[in-house]
Amino acid sequence: MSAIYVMWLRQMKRYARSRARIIGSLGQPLLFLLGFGFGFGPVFQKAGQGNYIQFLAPGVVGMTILFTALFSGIELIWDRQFGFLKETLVAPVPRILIMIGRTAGGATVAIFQGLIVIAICLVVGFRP
Amino acid sequence: MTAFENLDFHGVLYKVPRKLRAERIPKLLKLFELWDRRNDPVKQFSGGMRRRLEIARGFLHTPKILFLDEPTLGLDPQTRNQLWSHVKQLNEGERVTVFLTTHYMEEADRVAHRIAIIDHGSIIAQGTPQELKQQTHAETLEQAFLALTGTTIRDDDASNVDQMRNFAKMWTRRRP
Repeated sequence: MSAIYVMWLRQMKRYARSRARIIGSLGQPLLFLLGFGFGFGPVFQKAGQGNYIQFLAPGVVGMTILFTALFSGIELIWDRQFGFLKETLVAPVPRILIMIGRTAGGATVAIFQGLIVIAICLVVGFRP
Repeated sequence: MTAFENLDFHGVLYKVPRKLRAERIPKLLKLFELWDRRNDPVKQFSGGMRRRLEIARGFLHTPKILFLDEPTLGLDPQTRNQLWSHVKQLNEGERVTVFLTTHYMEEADRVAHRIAIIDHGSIIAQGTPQELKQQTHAETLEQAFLALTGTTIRDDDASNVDQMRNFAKMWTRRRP
């Protein structure tokens, strides 16, 4: 159990400490929300479909969560590159626990990122 | 992760109880002279500091045997000497068997009690440094090594993995 926790904790620490990563990964949802949202909004309204932001925001949030989760998969390759993955694999803990820990960490990071995007969506006018 | 967290992380993975961790990590950090830098991220460490941290990590779960694979490769003389004095201290103080590989013969002569020479993947000679030197009537271990293995240069082909690593090194500069 403690193996899951430390793997998770490591992901959390890495996330909390890389401010550049948090800001950088907000670029894409912001582009979609502001660029497409305000760009296509009037067209959408003219076509009689109502508020475009209402339609767009859940998709953007979902996509952010998916992309962040994908990124934690890519991080695995980085760990492999620097030998960190091997270090954890040779440790006397079941590998499934290491996998679960990493997955939980990646999922939590993705949730946080999703929450940030929800907050931004609320700011630009999304009303759930 | 910082040096301290790094040790703690490995302590948990190697199932060192929390109490022992809290006691041993500061001790190891002080022993390897990393205590002042314990809260700095490891990615800011120099090669020698990283090596020291790696060895400290190896001692966290008090192994009976410590394996070192070319521990002094790419280190400056100061760090190298420091490293050996630490390892010697652990070897003599805590009675840990140290198993190491190296390319530097004078180093092997200085630190090792027993030496085995490997050529083309098999052990061709072993014994204490004195025995090896007597066996080949050589002055130094380097000469003994050459007498035993010949002077032709070994051309090992790089494996696919090595090639991939080199490729990756060309593209990346920093280590996390």
